[in-house]
Amino acid sequence: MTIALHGILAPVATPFDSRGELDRAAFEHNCRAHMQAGLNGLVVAGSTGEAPLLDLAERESLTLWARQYVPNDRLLVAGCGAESTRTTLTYIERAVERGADAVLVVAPHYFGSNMTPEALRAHYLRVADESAVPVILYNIPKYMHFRLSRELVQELSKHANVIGIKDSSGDKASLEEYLAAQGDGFTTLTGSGQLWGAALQMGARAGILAVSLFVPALTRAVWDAVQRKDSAAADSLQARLTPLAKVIVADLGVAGVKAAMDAVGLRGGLPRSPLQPISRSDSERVRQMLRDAEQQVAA
Amino acid sequence: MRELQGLGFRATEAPFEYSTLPGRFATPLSGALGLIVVGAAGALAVAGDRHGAVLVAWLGSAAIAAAGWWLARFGVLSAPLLRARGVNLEFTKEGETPGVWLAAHLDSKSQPVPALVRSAGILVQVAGLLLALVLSAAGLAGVQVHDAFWAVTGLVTLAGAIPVVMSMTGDHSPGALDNASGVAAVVAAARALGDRPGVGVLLTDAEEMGLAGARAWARNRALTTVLNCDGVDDSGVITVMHSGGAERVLDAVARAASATGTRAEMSRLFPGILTDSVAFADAGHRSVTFSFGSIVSFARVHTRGDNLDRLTGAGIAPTAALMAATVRSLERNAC
Repeated sequence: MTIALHGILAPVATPFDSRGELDRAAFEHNCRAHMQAGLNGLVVAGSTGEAPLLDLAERESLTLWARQYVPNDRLLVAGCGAESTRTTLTYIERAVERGADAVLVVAPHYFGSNMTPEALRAHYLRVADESAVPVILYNIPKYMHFRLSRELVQELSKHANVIGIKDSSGDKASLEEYLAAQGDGFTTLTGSGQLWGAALQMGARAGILAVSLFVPALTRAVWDAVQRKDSAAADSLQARLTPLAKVIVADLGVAGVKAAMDAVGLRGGLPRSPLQPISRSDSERVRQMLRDAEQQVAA
Repeated sequence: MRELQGLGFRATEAPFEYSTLPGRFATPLSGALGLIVVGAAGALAVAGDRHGAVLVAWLGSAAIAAAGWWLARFGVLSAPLLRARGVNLEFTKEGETPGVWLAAHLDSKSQPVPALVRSAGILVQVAGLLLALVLSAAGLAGVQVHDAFWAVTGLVTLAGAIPVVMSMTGDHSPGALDNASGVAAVVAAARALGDRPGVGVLLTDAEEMGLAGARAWARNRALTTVLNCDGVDDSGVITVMHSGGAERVLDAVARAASATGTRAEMSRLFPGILTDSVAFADAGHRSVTFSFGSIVSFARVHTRGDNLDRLTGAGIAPTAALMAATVRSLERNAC
């Protein structure tokens, strides 16, 4: 299967109802809006989708429900990382059954000190060998507490079923290392909204960006400016995007992203316990930042 | 309900609204419309209007199929006409989100013709419609189609349409086999599973009204596994029916049957037969329906004769045992 990773993929949030169960209507409302905003695809059960807090049935449900809104010319990616290779493969199998085009696999990290290059190589090679759809590696040191080495990524990039890496380190040097592995069959994506414009100018072909959930037009405008090589416009637009990505996504986390979605008329809702909602003052701050960024804020 | 509460389950009512239009009238209406389409296509063909015959046969069939599909899948909950209220009953244990549900429908209905005859009628009528499609296309392609073929097609369609058109619903069946027996089997299976965690019991309403209760329950819920039970007679074989997407559950049934030495036949649902499993599967859940009996049982369904005079409950224990064994053998993460 040939898949082109290109443009902006939205790592969708997972809304919950008052009982703490998946809120299908809210989820579908958001998926529809993300697609109407012209984004290039959706990622379900990613970090912003609170993947570690979801069970298998919920992951399957989100993939199945999202599939209805992602046409075949756009991508549906399912987050399938787990602590064991076995569980990762189960998640992948189910995601494929429910219509995922590709899977995003964060490195196992609970036994961090034991995640040697050999262990990670064995894990990812088996995942890549057995996955029925292409695999995207996922580097997020903030949660993993280590990073995937350049050498390992270089080696894995040669596997026919490994088509890219999402780098959410927010570190230009790290991104640059991964970009060295980029080729016809391997794409480096950024997961950092703060680095979005810079990453594109450095050669990244795509991003999986939480900031695109609540300011899709601004995120898209940065992409467009870089594509037409208007670096002045790209820098100016990125300057508006950066504080939103830094405060709402990086500092406030999932709860901040959900509050921002609520503010722009989407349905983020509350995060699942043990995550806590942001404070009232942070919520007002989010709304003010969105107003400053010229986004329409719901009453 | 008291039995389940005694097993530690807590009951929750889940009310819903639906339209009785599909359940009451979709089948007889489709029978009448099918007959009209074949009759009109045949009349046009015999009159020499080959284009008209093709148009009526193909567009008419497509319209009936599309309307039937929409009514069955969506109209039963969203059609604005003939609205009614129903209540599903969920039984769960404190603090648990079940990974597998045992389900059976609580309601019953009667029809002037037994379910067996109605299903046969649907098959015959579909055959008539297919014949009409072939004959009209052949005529358009320049093949000389003798009028007698159209006459036979019309008679076949008529023969099928009669029981279908007569399938108006009433309230004259005690519903012993369909489906007090299924409810009893589900309760017995829950009892056999004892304290095993992660198992819920679902008693649906309005199954006989286009699977309304199951569709309402299934539509917004995270995906799960539902072992449905519908019709447990005193003699026959256990049949496990599905409508696709239930391979993992079928594997578990096979393992359970082997482990318990139970004979169980697995098959896709027969054309014209609807069970709550169809609604669960349409929403993406993994579901099969357990049934016990024979073709004789089927002839009793939806008639006044479906009463306790003809049912001792002898099939309930083996069916419940297989359902419980299936829950135990569901693979890790079968969900």
